[in-house]
Amino acid sequence: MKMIEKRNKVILYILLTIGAVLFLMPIWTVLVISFTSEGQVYTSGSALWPRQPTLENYQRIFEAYPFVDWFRNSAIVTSLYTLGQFISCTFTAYALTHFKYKGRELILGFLLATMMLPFQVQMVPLFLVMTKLKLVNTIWSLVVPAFFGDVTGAVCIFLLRQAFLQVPASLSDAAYVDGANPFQVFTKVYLPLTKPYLAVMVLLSFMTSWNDFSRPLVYISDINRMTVTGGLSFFRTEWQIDWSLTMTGTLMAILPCVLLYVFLQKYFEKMVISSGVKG
Amino acid sequence: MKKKNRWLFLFLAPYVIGACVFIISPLFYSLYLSFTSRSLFGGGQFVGLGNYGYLFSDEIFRSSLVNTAYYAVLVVPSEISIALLIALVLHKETFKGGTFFRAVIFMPFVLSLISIGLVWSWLFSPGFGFLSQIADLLNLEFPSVLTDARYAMIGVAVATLWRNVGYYTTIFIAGLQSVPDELFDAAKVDGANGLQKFWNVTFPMMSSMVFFCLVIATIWAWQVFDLTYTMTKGGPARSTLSTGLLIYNTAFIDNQVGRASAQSWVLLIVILTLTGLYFLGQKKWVYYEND
Repeated sequence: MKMIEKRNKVILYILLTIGAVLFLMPIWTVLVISFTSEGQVYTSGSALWPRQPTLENYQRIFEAYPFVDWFRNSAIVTSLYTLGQFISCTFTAYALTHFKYKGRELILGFLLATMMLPFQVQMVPLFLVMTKLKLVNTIWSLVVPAFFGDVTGAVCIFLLRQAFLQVPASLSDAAYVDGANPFQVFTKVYLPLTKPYLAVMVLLSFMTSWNDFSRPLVYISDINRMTVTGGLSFFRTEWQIDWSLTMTGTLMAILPCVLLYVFLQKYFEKMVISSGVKG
Repeated sequence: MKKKNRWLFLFLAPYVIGACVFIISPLFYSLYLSFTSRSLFGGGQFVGLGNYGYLFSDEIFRSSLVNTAYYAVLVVPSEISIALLIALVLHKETFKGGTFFRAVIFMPFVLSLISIGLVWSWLFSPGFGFLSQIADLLNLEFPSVLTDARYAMIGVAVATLWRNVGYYTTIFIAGLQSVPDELFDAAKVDGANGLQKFWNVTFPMMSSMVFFCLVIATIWAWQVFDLTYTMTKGGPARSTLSTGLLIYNTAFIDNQVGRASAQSWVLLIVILTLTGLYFLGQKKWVYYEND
């Protein structure tokens, strides 16, 4: 009995390891091809190891595309978006938990309903709104909504609401007795007590903004004003594609998120669980 | 208390302003546009239900709905069942290395959809792409997946699976870990075998999470845009032209924002209807602890 159990376990581990290797294979081949010259790719195709490793793709890509601009734009957009989300989402979550008033549940219901809204429904009118606000074709079109409420923030607000609900009323009551106002209760009681959730929220906002593709594609037309993720759309033209260059660009575009994931993995798990399960 | 509620305005203001400017008015504006023949550069006039009537008989729009439905059918059930299967293997806290395998399977979810689309376009590319090289080694014929109308949508579905399975797995694992051990012990005493244990104990305890994932997966599937835009541009022969992509093309390539708005409202209604049906159906099989 014990023997069979042990043997089964070994088999399971072997299968899982093979599965994990296959699962990561796509990323590995991207890494390999980014160090392979274009000519080599066309003559001998994909390989498990770069036969003649070269950095030429990393040189070519900065000549062929305004990658430096894209990175700068993405850095500005992502940090401001995250800052905006931090302010607007914590404010809204606080308003949805700390205060009692008519219509609170209505706002919450509205918030949850917006999560179902396809971007396609909003794409056209938002483009026209951005045109009216003179934000179209600037990176501000990707930033300004974050400081208020827009559809992308709904998950964060919901997540923070779950966290704020766990803040004991006795603590905020004690702060009021000490003469604090609601804003001080917010900054001195609520925010310090929910730090792990705030970290999750920041992470989620960073990813949402960095990975956003449709909005840059719709709002921004100048190639120099693009974000990195939006810029990937320029790699694939109708008739041809330079695979080694494209994969190099893709790799550089996903690198920040991959690195964050490798170092902050436990927060990501928390993010999924708290945004998903408690719903 | 009165004073406290004055502060409420400060905290609520950003969301209320944002909701009005960036959610509600665009929504109504879009509804209004759907009754006009407006182009991206203005003009156009009120045409009543004209756009909707046109869509009803428009071959391309209808086939886009069929394509999207086909994609959803390919993706949703397989995502959920594969994730459930993996979660059942990986959930035990005593299982050594479980954290590592969980980390691996979730990884693609942190990548942008467009980069995933590009990576899989490369993997699928005929001749020198990774998968056809493997097939060559094994002396197999590998179809040119993304340029063959029969297989293109399957290719898009595979990329989707690679990305999403880890997300659902993570949710299911959290759910399984919250099932109290006593329940399994009790089932063991009653002499239940593995499959019985799954159907009578595990699945009912997980059903609310499975339901949540089904809803999310369906909504996401019907909105598919980034992957079809990147991997196939809707081709070949419009076989992967999803409604999400068609709306973009209609609005920003054909510049017909009125018609695109009508398309997007049809899509919204489809999504709302499906979600509604799920909620109606859930009473039959979803088990909530509080009931």
